[in-house]
Amino acid sequence: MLEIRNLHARAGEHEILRGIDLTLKPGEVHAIMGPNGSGKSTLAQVLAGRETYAVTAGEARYLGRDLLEMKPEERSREGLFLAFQYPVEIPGVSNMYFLRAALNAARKQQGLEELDAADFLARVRDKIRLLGMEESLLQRSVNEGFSGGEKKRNEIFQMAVLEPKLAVLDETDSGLDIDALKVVAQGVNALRDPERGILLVTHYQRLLNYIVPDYVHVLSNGRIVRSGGKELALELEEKGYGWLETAAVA
Amino acid sequence: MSTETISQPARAEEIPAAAAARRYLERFAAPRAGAAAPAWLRARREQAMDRFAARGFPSQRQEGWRHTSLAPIVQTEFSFAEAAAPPAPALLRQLERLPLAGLGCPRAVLLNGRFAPEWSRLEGLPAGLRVTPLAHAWREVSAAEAHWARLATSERHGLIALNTALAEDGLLIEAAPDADLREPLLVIYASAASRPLAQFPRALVLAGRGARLALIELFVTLDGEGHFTDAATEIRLDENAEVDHYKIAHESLSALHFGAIEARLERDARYRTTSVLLGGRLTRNETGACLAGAGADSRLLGLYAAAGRQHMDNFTRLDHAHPHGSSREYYKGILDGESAGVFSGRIIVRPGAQRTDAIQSNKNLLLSESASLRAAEPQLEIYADDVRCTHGATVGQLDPEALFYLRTRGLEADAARRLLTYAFANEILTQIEIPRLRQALENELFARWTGTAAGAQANAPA
Repeated sequence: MLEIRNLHARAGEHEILRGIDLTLKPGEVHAIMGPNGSGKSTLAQVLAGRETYAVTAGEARYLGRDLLEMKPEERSREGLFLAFQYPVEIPGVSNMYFLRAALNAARKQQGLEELDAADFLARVRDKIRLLGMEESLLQRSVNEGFSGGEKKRNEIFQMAVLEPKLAVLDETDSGLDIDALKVVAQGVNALRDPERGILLVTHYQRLLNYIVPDYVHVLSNGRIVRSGGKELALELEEKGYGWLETAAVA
Repeated sequence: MSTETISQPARAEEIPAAAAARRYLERFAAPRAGAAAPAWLRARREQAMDRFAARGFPSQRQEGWRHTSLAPIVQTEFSFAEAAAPPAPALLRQLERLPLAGLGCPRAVLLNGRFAPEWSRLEGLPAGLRVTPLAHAWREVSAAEAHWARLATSERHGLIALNTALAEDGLLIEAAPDADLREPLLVIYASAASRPLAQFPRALVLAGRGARLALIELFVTLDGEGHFTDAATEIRLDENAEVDHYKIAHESLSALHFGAIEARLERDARYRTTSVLLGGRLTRNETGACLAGAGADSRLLGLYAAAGRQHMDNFTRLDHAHPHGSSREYYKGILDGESAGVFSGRIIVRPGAQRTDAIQSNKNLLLSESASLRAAEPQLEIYADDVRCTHGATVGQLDPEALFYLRTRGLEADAARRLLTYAFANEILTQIEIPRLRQALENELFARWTGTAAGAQANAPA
C-alpha cells in the first residue's frame, strides 16, 4: 500500500533524506529506527505532506496513487494518519469539535453521512476507555495544557477514531513512562488489522517489546542501511547506534 | 486627592471647533422637544457645550489619539433626530430578526437616541430592577442629579462633552441593594434614518450595595448609512456590588461610532465589562474603571474583529486609587483586509494603592498583509511601591504548525485557517457568562469565519 523509491528530500540547503526505499503491505507493521538526525521524523513528515521539506528526487506511491502530488488533507481523507512527535496545542478548539470535523471530512470522502454530536460521542466512548482517558478530555481544547503523555495518548485516540488505512507513528513512545507506553501500545495493537499498515518511527527499542513489528529498518544519514526482522531491534539495543556509523562509512 | 480627577492631556493642537462644531452649537441653541430640563441639567449641559466649543474634537496630535483620525466625523454634516413618531412596524420586524435582539430577556430600546416604549419589553421586571428613561429621570429621580455625567465627564474630551450637551434621552438603570439580577437586561441602541444622523445615547447604571446585575448593550443600524453614534455609559458599583456588562457594537459598516464606558467601584465591588466590536467603519471604544475602594476587582475584556477598511480603536484606563485592588485586561484583535486596529491601555496606581495587582494583555491576529495594528506603549503611572503591574502585547499570524496539524486531520487549508481564527476569538467568547449571548456571538463569528452555521458545538458541552 506504500511504496517509496529513492526518495530524496531537503530542508533549505540541507539534504536530509538521501534515497529511501521502502515497501509496506496491508497488515504489516514496520519499525524505523535510527539515531537522532538520521531523518526518521523527516520521513514521517514528508509522508504526511509537510511543505517545509522539498522532495528533490524519487517517488512515493500510496494505494496506487502518487502520494507526493496529494495535499496533506487529501492524504488524510484517503486514510493516511500521522501521529505527531510533538502534537500541536490549539487553544479555543475543543477536542470534540476537532475530532468530529476530522472524522466527518473522512466520512464525506467515503460518501458516508456526517455524524452529529450525539452519534459521534456514542462512537468514541469505547475508544476513550481503550486509551484510559477521561471523557472530559473531549471538552478541553486540543492538547492545551495536556501533559506529554496525555498528548501522545490523544494522538492514538484520534487514530483509533479515524481508523486509518496507513498509520505513521512518529516517536509516539518518546517521553512516555512505562505505564503510559503500555497503554499507548495497547491502543496501537488493538488497531492491528490485516487491512491496515503501520509505520512506527522510534528511537528506542523498548516500544518494540510491546508492539512487535514484522520488519525493522535502520535509518542512518538519510538512508536505510539495514533491514531485517524484529530481532534486528534487539541487535541494535545491544550494540547501540554507534556501529552503524562505521558500517555505513565502510 | 479626588479619585475622579485625572490629569488631562495637553489641549494644544485640537481641531478648531469653529468650523466643524457650528452645527452642534446651533443644535444646542435650538429649542428642545419635551418638558423643560431642570436647572442642574441645563447647567451641566451648558458647561459641556462650552467645553466642546473651546476644545472641539480630539485631534491626532493629542495624546491617546495619534492613530485615529476623526476626520470622517468632523467633515460630515449630520442631521439630528427629531422627537420620535411611533416607529415603523417594518423596522421593528427588522429589529426582531437580529439574532442578538432575541435573547428572550427584558429589553429597553432606544431609537436614534430616544427611548422607544413600543419596542421595549419591560413588563414584569424582576424585583429590585428599575429602568427609567432619562428624559423622565432627569426631572423626577434625585439619583440622576447626584450621579449623571459624573464619571464620563466633559473634562475628558470633546466627544464626551458633545454627548453630555446633546443627549436627549437615555436610560437610568437601578439595581436595588442586594438584588440578584443575573438574568440580563438588554439595551438596544438602534439607528434608523434616511440621512446621516448623529445620535447621543446615554445610560447611567447604579448598582446598589451587594446587588448583582447583568447588562448587555447592543448597538445596531436598522436603516440608513453613515450615522454617527456618540454614546456614553456610566456604571457605579456600590460596596460589594457585582456588575457583568457587555457592549456589542454591531452597527453598519459605514457607521461612525464613539463609546465611553466609565465605571467606578466602591469597596469589594466586582466589575466585568466585555466589548465586542464587529461593525462600524470607524470605532473608538473607551473603557475606564476607577477602583475607588479597597479590594475592588475589575476585568476588562475586548474582542475586535475588523475587515475591509474598518478602523477600530480601543482605549482603556484603569485607575487604582485604593489598596488591594485587582484589574485584568484581556483584549484580542482580528484584523483582515485593509483594516486597522489600535490598542492603548493606561494604568494608574495612585499613592497608597498598595498591593495593587494589574495585568494587561493585548493579542492580535493579522489575517492579511494590508491589515495593521498600532499598539501604543503601555502607559503605566505607578505612584505606590508594593504593586504588581504586568503587560504584554503580541501581533502575529496563524500558527503554521497548527494549520498543518489540522490539515493532516483532513480539514481543507481554508477551513483550517478559519477554524483557527475562530479559535483565537473564542478565548474571549468562552468567558462570556450569559450562555445565550455567548451562543449567539459564537454562531455569528463562526459563520463569519467558517461559512457554516454549525459552530456552536466548537466548545459547547456534548
